[in-house]
Amino acid sequence: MDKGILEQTRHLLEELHPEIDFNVDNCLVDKGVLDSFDMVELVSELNMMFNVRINALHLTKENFNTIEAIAELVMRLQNQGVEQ
Amino acid sequence: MTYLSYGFAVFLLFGLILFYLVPSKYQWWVLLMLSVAFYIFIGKYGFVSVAATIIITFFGGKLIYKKRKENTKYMNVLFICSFVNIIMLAIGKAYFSFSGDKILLPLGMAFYTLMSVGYLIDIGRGAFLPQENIAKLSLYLLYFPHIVIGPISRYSEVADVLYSGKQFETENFFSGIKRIIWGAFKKLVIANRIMPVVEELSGNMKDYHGSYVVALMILYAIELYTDFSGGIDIVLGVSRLFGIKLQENFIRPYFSKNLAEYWRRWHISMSTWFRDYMYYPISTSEQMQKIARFFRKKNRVFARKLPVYCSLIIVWLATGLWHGVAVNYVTWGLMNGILLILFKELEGVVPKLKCQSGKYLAVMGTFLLTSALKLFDCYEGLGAFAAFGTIFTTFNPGIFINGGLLIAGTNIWDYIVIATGCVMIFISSLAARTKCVSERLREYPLFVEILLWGSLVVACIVLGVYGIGYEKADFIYNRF
Repeated sequence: MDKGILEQTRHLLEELHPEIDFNVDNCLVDKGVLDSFDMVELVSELNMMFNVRINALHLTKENFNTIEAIAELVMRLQNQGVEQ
Repeated sequence: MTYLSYGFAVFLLFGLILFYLVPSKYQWWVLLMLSVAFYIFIGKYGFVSVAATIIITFFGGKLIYKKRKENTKYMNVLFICSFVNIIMLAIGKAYFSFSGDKILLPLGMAFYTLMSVGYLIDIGRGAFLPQENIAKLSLYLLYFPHIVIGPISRYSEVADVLYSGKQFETENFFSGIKRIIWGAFKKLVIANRIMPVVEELSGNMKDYHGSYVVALMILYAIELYTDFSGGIDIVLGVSRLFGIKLQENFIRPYFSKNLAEYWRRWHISMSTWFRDYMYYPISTSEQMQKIARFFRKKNRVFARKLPVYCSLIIVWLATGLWHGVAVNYVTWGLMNGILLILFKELEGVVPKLKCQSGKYLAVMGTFLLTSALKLFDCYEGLGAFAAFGTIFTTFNPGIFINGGLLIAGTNIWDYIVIATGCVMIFISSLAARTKCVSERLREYPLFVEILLWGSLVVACIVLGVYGIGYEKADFIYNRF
């Protein structure tokens, strides 16, 4: 796991929800921390920050439920970009 | 033949006997036969339209898959097929709005159109293989429990269970019956009793101002919920009798603490459809992300919010149009979109009351707000604004105690029955927060359960509002 991506993702989430402690709350979609508004805002940020292309198909609970899952999605898309 | 008629009861009994008598591999044929018979009997001429949708969806799905497999462009096929299905719905809705004639708006069109478009998009996304048997696809779109008022079932969720064989299970049977009884209670005892008052108040805007509008807001909110969720209870119950579980469409929506939460709990199958097939694709599209990138240099926060808010307005406009091609529905949709944006923006500014009383206030506020938005359903054009305005210009709260609401043939007992019914729904909603009510009741001795469900049946028979003159009291969501 790329710690840079992980930390930057955490930073983005803290910016979106400063009231949440993301070290404690880790079921972001299940617990309703991230709603569909936040997910799209996050997508725009991640797309621009990491130069990836997250689309509607990636917007699943599995990909956004934890910070690790979000970072993993970004890494996966980055790797796909490199392979292409 | 609505879901609450003697005709439907006979039809259902015949269907169930046939369904469990035939070998399991032919059971889906029985469901298809029943669904076609049901549709022809109720939808009549509309069968031509639904047949066209089935054919377009079946061949469109196969072509999209073929093109996708060959790595050729499938988006144009997906667009054309979806467009034709949607345009048929739009024409039907527009014709109904302007002429009041439902000839181009067959039964359940708003529901099966969304299901067919969702099916095509999912094939384009590679979510599943297209259905190879047109009869099986017909069953998915026509399945008689969900075609009239939803829920808008997803193919990926119901296909396997629709086509597989089932054994008769007493658990399914009794769960289904109990759900039907509960739905019938909501519809017959509460919704139908409120209906004449709502019709009187909304149909005579000039005569009823101020507190009458407040009464209309609250009564219509109760009527719509008991009518629609009661209908869905019946739909889920009927489907359960055949061993098929459909998606829940409501999760105690009037307990929501804000508008966004309300839309996650009310008509869930519709809101998730618009989220998954419109909001997410539009907001994450290349074009929308390009716009966001353009604004990023000027204002990063604004840039990331732009795709959300633009898409939200488009989606809510479409949701309004889906309910009806009329000014009131479009305004309702836009109001929802604008308020959602407004509340999202205020989220960080207005401090949240974390105490229990703060939560109660939020729930009450959300109930009043969503009830006020429902006024767009009661008045044509922009009449809802004018009616709502009279709340602040006319002071007549006395109507709540001086018998001012005893209109349209209602008396005090009607309101006592309505209030008792609402208290029962409230208690069952509280009980359902942690565990399904049916499961909770199983913890009590059997005679308690029998007594309770028996009382509800008696309540439906004795206190239910039905019979001659109430054929028109079909489910409100039929008209969408």
